[in-house]
Amino acid sequence: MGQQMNIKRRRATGLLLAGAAAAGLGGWRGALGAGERVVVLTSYPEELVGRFQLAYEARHPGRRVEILWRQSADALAYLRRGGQQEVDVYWTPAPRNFALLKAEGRLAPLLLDTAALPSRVAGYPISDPDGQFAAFELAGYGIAYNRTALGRLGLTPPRDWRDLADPRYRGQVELPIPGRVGFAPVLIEAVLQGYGWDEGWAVLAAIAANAEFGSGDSNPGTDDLVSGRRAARLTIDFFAAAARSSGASVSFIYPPRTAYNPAQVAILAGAPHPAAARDFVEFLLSAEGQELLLHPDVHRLPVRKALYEAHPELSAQPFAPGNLAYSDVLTRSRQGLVAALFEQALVQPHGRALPLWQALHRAEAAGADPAVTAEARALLSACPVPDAQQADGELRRLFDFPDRVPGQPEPPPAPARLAREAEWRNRVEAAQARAGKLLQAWRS
Amino acid sequence: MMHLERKNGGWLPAALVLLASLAWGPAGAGEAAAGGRFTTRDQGRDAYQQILWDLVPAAERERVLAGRGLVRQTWVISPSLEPRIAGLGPTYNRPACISCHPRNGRGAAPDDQARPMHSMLVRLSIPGRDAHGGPLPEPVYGDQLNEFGIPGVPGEGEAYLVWESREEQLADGTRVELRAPRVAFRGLIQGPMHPELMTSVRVAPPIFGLGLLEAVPEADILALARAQKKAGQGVAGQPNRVWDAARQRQALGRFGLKANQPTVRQQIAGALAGDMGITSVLFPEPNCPPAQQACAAQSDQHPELVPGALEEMTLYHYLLAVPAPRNQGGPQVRRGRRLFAEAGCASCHQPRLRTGPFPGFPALGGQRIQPYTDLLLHDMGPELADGRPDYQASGSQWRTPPLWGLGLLPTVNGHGTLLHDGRARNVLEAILWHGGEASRSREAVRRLPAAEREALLAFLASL
Ligand code: HEC
Ligand code: HEC
Repeated sequence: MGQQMNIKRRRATGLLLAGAAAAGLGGWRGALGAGERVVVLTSYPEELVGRFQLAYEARHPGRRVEILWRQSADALAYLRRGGQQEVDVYWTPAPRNFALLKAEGRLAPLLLDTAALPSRVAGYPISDPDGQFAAFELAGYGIAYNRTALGRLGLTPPRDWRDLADPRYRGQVELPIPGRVGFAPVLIEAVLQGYGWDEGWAVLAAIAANAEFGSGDSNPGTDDLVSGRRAARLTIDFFAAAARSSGASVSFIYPPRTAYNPAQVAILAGAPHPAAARDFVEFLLSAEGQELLLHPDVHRLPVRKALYEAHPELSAQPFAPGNLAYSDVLTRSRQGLVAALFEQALVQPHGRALPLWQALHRAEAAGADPAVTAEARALLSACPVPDAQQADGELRRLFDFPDRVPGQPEPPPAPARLAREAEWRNRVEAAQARAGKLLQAWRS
Repeated sequence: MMHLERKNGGWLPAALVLLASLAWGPAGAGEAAAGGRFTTRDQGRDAYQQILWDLVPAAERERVLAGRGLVRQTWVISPSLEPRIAGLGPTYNRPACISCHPRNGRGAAPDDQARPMHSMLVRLSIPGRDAHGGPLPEPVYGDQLNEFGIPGVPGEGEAYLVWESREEQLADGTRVELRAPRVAFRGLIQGPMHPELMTSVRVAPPIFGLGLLEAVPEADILALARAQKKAGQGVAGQPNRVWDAARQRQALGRFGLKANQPTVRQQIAGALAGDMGITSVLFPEPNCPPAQQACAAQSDQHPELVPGALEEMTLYHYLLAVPAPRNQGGPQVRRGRRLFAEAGCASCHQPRLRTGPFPGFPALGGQRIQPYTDLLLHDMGPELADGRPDYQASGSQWRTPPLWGLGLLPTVNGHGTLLHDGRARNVLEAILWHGGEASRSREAVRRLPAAEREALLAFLASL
């Protein structure tokens, strides 16, 4: 049977190949010339990568873009292991990695003409002020909703996160869990930074009262939204855009204060093909490259301002005044803390919280004593860690995600961390118990 | 539909119609349901990616989603923090299934010789057979050219296509330019290939509806072959017999462009191994050159594919729904359907089959489907021949490809290129390349007046 034989044979071939490579006998790579290749490390999906690869190769007959694919944590570990000698360009939505690689001296200056490329969103930098990495595109966060499902529920389209707290959305919203879904940390921070910590948690808790939690990146949520089984989903714009371009009755809105999170590109200091690397980066940021972002299979927000004027159909306005100065540094500094809080305050107690929220909604609708309902709402909405405490550096560090190493299991959580989580759980349970008493009359 | 074919059978042999009436059963409500219950009304860019969730038991949902995730995944080199998606290489063609099957659809051939192949591959062999009757791999490069290597491992070289064009004239004077590729190699890492090298250039076909095709009873397929032979009209399909690695025996081939794979599961495992260098329970032999110390030290866990992943990917393939045909009542489409039968297209592109019991996913059983294939090999003449036998398939035989979903190809993939090597730029060109057993059909189309030709094309576009 062909396959197996082929592989066995390839063992022998491999020996020869390795020998040839070691002896520097050249071969196909040599034949094309070292400058004719650019090695790109990325975590972008194939739909995006393939399109840029094709377009770039069409512009440079004979030149080849070689893709190495790794998710962000993996990519960082790989570059630190010596991959920086094998890779020319790092191109990915992972601001933390760019910051770290720069700090570790692994990046080369880009030397770009940045006149047409804004370096900030709402005053917050998206490109490196020292020119070692540059924003390539932006991901915007917001609400995807199914128009038919909204119609069925008698709802008008949402405009802001808080609209999803309307009791008519009960069971109809999908909320991603920041500790489990790749894009969720920034999304949750869009809410927290947009409203501020305390109010942000209250909004999240009220949305959670209507929500099912989406787990996993394989993302059944999109299917449920497209089919109308769910009415709304907090998500990244390009997920929804893909559904929209395929004709589903799905729309997407950017809340007034949301996050536009940059993806960036950089050239490695040890790049084996520095000239080709520079050329590829210039292509990515050129008008032609940026226009490719608008292709329906890609759907990312360009960083060239001019494209927003040329494409009035783009509802995102990241460079418009009044946007949130979303800080990815803040996100990263408390990412572990937020993920743990979300899990302990919203995910784990979800089953017990739902009937209490329903009782609250009934009480509010029935015009119960506003002092009582306000107190009950505050109890159900409060974050176990108030604003003043969340800023504590030591607490944040306690929950930092450890750097993982391939092949090694994650270290067990520190006892201090488990103790904190137990404390939060107690606080949530106590608050639920009090709210339950206040709402006794409306519980079914 | 059936009565049209009976009434206007033309030269369509009686035996085929008879067989058809056995296999097809009464036309009825399910008329436009190309995939039986597994038919989607989606006509957009996602039409080849539809899962009908109502047909998926709740307990299977997560597995289907996991399978979809793996098919869309770009695979990574070991070692990785994500062992589920690790194992790419050391040599490979492309890092994702959807690199070659974009949107679960069809790849395309590069238009000029400067460009590399992005969604196709070249199979290699030399005369002779391997222990199981399959092709004998090229002694140095194996049975498929792998163009890429992971860092530290060079790719094997690059294949490219040189196009030659000629012009055909239809009976009404219309001229059609046809192009055919010749494959060539550059930068071969181990020098020239074997002097008796045989190549087969293949573009990735769409991957929906395959569970239904796997569920068609073998007896029905063999009966079609017998009926074609008996009809004596020059169409004589032949089943392929290939090696089934799971059952360790010969089996009917159904998948691949020469019906060179027996099951969806083995086809996927073959793609993982051959196109991406990922080992699995079916093909566990490591693809790692021992002298490549870095590689040998890294990817020491074989099979690389984690348990369950192959089954999840297979399940996802099983469930991919077939797009419903459109405009079936329109007069032009109805006329085209009649012409399709009259020109003898339907003897190979069987409009109707039924599925038998299918333990792999019982709901796929008992469906009346309209795949427009007989899953048999046909001699398509010297011009389409690749000259490379594949198990029982000769160098000029190809499996009749299904035509369901054909009309949505431009919507889904932004091009309409067809045939095994992507030479046809549209349906008419594809028909004009038909030779061998299908010469008669081709000539029938060549003779059609323009309006009739348009009707035939409208019918094909409605699928
Ligand atoms: C390098 C391009 C390439 C890659 C990558 C690739 N395929 Fe394919 N695929 C092909 C080609 C070409 C064929 C036809 C094969 C043949 O005739 O032998 C094919 C055939 C198939 C078929 C059979 C379709 C039919 O109608 O018979 C399935 C199913 C399939 N591929 C699934 C996959 C999966 C799953 C993956 C990822 C694990 C994958 N392919 C990766 C090119 C590719
Ligand atoms: C003898 C069997 C046979 C007959 C008769 C036949 N075909 Fe085909 N058809 C094939 C085979 C085999 C291929 C694949 C050839 C290849 O890829 O090189 C094919 C390919 C095609 C394709 C391209 C599909 C694809 O996926 O690439 C179209 C369209 C098509 N046929 C339409 C027709 C029409 C219309 C007729 C009647 C005029 C017809 N065929 C008659 C066997 C047949």
